[in-house]
Amino acid sequence: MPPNLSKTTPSEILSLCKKFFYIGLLFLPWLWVVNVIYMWPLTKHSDIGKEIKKYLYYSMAGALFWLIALSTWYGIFVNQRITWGEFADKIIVIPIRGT
Amino acid sequence: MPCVRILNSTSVAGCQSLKPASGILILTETQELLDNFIKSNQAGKYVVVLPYELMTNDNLRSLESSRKMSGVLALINGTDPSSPTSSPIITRPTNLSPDEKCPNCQFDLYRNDESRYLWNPNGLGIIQESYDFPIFALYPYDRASNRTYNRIISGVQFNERRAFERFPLKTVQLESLMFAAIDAPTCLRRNFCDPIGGHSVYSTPSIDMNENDGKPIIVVSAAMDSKSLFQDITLGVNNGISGSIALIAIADALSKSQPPVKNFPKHILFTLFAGESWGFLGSQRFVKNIFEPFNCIQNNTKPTTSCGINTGNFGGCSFPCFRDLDFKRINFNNIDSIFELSSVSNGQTGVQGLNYFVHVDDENNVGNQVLIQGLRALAVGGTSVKSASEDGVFRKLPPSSSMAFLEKNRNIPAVVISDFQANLTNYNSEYDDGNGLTDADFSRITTSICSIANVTSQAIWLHAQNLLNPANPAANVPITVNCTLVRELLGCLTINGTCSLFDAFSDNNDKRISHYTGVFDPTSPALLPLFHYNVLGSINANLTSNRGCQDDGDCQFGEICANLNCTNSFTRFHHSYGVGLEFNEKGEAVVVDPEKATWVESGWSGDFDFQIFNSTSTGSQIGELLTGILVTVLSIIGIIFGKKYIRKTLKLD
Repeated sequence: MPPNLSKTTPSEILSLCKKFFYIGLLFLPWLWVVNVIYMWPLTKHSDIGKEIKKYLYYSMAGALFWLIALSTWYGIFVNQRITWGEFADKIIVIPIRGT
Repeated sequence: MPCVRILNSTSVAGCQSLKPASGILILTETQELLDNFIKSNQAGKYVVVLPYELMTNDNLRSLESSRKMSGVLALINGTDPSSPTSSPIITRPTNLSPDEKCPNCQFDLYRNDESRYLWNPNGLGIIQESYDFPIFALYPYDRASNRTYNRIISGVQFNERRAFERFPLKTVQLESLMFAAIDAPTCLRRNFCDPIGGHSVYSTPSIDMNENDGKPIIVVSAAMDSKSLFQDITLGVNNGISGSIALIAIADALSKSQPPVKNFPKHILFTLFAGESWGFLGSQRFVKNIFEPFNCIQNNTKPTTSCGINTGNFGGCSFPCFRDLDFKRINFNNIDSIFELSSVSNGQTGVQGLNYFVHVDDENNVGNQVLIQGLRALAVGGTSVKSASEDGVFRKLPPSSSMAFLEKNRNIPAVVISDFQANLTNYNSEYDDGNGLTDADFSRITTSICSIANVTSQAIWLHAQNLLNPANPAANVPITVNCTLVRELLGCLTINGTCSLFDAFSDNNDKRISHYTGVFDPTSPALLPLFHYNVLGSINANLTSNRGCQDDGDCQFGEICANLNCTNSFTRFHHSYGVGLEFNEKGEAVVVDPEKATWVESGWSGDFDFQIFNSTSTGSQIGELLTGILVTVLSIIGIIFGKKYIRKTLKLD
């Protein structure tokens, strides 16, 4: 459920949306996803809607970038782990049994 | 009892199941039934109960590619539990070996020869294959294994009665996740495996032996353990136990000699090697250590994390890690000859008396000829010892520890004494279990070991005094082997593991002693080497004090604790692990020579899981799932409408 406009002022909501986006820059892509889901209903708001939409698009792009980057890394790692040998074992936190 | 994952420098062997595998129990007694099962379009996944004889690599691979098999239960022996008096479900094969046709050939003396003799032509060759599905053994021998066996076979019969169509059917789930993967260097680095090995034991009555005494050394050697596909049930009565018992019996007989053998012109050194079935790692490691110059790089008298041995007690070394350095007192260049006792429990196979064969590397070696002829001349009565090539075929040495010595000096006279002439029987096999070890088997095996130990001990007694003269065999050699001791040892090392010989150093409660090599632990020798250490230590005791002890640390420097008494005896353990492996300064095993033996065993977690339950058909399983989903959806709808209804009636909106 989006922030209740009857309780919070639009400027506060906008600054919250901005904060979500900027904090998300600290390698927190889930925060961007939360931002998008949480704030999306307010994009229709006549006053701050446009501005919010801009930040939500930024957040979306950021989250998408992380998704692509991480899944690419996952693919590469899973397929190349054996070839990398010792290096791969060193960067693994919990050793993988049996393979 | 599962098949375990084993790795070496380049390859993987044994079994692995990354996920628990379950399947409906089915028994295929014959090749025909198995082929029919593979060809049939029976749906579902099965756990196939397969007589061991049918466990060829071809059969296992076709089962794997049929996609109907999720695991295999190897039926090694057993009778039908529903009628215990009936004949067994499978007949026991007379000769079956899971090992290769040419066992350990890539590690032996003839590894570079172009053509070579195959000692194990009937070998199934499955021991070095890698299977990515679980294989468990059915081998009822005690209460727990009998219970498992009965439940499995009852399950199979239940399914047969229902023609594999009328559900529910008995299903079994097998789980054996092996941690190690890829190869030995990888799993050692990841700390998921341990080097296969243990402790060899050497012992001599020559308490003052040293490297500069110039006295020739007669080596009397045998392997102490064995292997098979399923490690826990490995017994190795013929390959392993029989030779080591003969060796102890010889040591015992020679210890009663007057004058004492330590005063003879030659030393007699008894060596019992651990892990010979794994690329001769015991003998190769021992020979490497006594042959190469040794430098202790670092010595702390206190145990370190990398070498948990109190080197101060025995004069050892912290890096490289050695318990003691007394092996340096054995001068390789002084080795005069080798008597090796291979498998010697089946001397009595034919109709006429007891027959044994002597194998050599070089027939033209004069030293070998003297030993062969000497042994032959000493074999009297019903015992006969012949050259293995008396049938006109020269096959060189069978798999043996002597090869490690010959590798460094090809001219050392070395005889390998065995009950076989041309082919190994039940080699490294679950069937090398003394055929069930009835009283009759005990008598037969005791007679066989005792006869050859007698002949060999006399030959060694003469040879140590330079009196072994084939042209004029000495009559009345005053050396006789104690057959009662042989019988007792045979019981202790097979199915009477609670025998009194263990009392002094172990509170072992297992009646059956596994002769699988196991993994190397530098600080604590396993039960088998401990047994030989105590037995040989007291036989070759120069002086037994009345000071009691629990272990070697309780005794004075140079003494050992044999059978709870501090004893002055030159009997030592010797670390044994693949010669292709070494421990670095941190105490981690690393592969240093991939060409040599580098065997490691995978770790696993806890007990191997095994469950039997009733399962329904795939159709009804899907039905159940759909019903479940339907119920969930209906409940959600019910809640939504219920909520609305309640809100309406209570007028909350």
